[in-house]
Amino acid sequence: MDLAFQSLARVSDLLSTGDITSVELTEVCLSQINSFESEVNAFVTISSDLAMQQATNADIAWQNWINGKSDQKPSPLNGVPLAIKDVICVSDVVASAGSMMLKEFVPPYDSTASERLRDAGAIFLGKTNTDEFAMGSSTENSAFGPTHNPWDLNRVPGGSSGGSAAAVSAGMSYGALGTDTGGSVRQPAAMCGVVGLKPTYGRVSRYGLIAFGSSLDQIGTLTRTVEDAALLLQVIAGPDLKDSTTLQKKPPNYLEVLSRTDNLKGVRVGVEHEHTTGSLQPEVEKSVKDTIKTLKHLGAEIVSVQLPHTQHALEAYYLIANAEASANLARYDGIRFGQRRTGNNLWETYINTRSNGFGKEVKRRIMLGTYALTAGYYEDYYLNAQKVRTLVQKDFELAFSKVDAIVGPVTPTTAFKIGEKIEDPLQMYLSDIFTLSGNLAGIPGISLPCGFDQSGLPIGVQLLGPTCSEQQLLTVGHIYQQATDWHKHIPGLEH
Amino acid sequence: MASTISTNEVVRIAQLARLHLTENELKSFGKDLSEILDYMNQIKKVDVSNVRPTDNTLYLHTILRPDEAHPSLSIDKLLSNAAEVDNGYFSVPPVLGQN
Repeated sequence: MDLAFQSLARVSDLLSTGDITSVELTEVCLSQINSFESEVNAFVTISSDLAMQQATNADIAWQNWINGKSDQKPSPLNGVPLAIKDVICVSDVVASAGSMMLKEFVPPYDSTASERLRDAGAIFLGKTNTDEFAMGSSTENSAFGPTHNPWDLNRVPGGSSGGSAAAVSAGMSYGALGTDTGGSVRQPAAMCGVVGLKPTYGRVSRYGLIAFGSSLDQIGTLTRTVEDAALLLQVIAGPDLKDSTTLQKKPPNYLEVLSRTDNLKGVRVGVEHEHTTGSLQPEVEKSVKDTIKTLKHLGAEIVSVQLPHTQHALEAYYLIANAEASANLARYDGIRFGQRRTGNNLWETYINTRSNGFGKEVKRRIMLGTYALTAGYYEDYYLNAQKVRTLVQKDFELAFSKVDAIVGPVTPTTAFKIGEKIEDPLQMYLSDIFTLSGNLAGIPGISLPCGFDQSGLPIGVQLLGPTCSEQQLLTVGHIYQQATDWHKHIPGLEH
Repeated sequence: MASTISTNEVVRIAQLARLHLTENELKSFGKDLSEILDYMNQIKKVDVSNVRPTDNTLYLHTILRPDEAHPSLSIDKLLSNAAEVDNGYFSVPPVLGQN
């Protein structure tokens, strides 16, 4: 198999024995980017100089270990090229958030997630494309053009972490960070045929993450395998004094999971039979059913569960997310950072800066959020949404008293065509229907490749677990991937 | 049961959000918002009597740290992204004397 498409775990092994250097790996990724980036548009910024510099240092660290000069074994991520979604700050590299507003914004600090990766010796290839301020499900809302799905360049990669998903899928990077507020890691993972993990809310620090919906946002991983996801999560997860919404307890050893190659005996998997609004594409339905059969075959007990309030999760989600977004995006006023369009006075400066700097979808969501919070509407909309959120959370708590994980679709359809849904915001919002309840409840979820439709487009299956059950989800996913090879397929990009 | 938002309301919300909308934008946003809010109105159908609102899933408590000063970012770095800087300050248009 082409080196560009090897798993992160595999290349990490090769680095640790000196069979390959980080410089070589970085060159492989940069070459892949060079060949296909003009068609895919996965990146906003490619930081090749930084990457090569980091690679050189990483090689020294591995050499010292291999030669016995150092008895400190480098992290498995040392020397591994990664990509970072452009809403996550990396020091001294532009963080655009996919927006004109931040087109020239250079963060003077690393996000905690980036800092942990940097300290582990990971290589930063660049910042990936995203829907503006992470608002979208297709990466079409980016101010820098849409990203194209490597499986069919006329189609979306999903969103908002479409750039990250496409980069990993296209062999441009061995892994990537994304963010998931309503499904933005899991959905593009499904549409691009890669593994997408959204941790429990609070598992990964949000310090240095450009905020969208603060009670929903979570940094997640896009990788080719579940094993790779465990390797990334181990480094970025954990309490952070700079983010007081992080879980205070230290994460467990996720890598333990990877020694499991047996079966799923004793694991109870929940299936919800009533689908929420909208219908499933027939091939998606079939692939999910086949996955359930596979899990059963592997020894899992399949149990029926009810989640009666998920049919209202979409309304609750969009009211809460947009309300929080309207507050979070108030900081873009042209004063301390971001573009400034000066007017005759301060008021005009605010108006001009914001009207000019934000794209249509962002404005739409700010308006919705503002409306939901205004006097006279607050009780009807925002407060009601928060109460529905409690009910959704309780549904999951009840379900998880009977099962260890819930299996279901990630998204109603495979990747749609670019331009197909952009004029119909409500249709676009409906594509998050299976993922957003997980964000409302703050629980972890993973999206795994589980098949292809008749056009050869990837299909993903989702596993949701109770809070702090990442080990469990990774175990089930890892055992599933020992028994299947959907995750080994690669798109047919041609030179 | 369409709940149309009046143009006046759209203008009011835009003002609150410090956004200026063109004539066309007013029309298209009015339409979008009406459609979306129509859908969102379904939330009123849920029986939420006796349900407490959740504003965060973590059951948070206040995280404290010792009251000790530590080095922070330098002023240069903090000003590095500002559009206009004057002698170590963010420079802004006049605050007073507006409508």
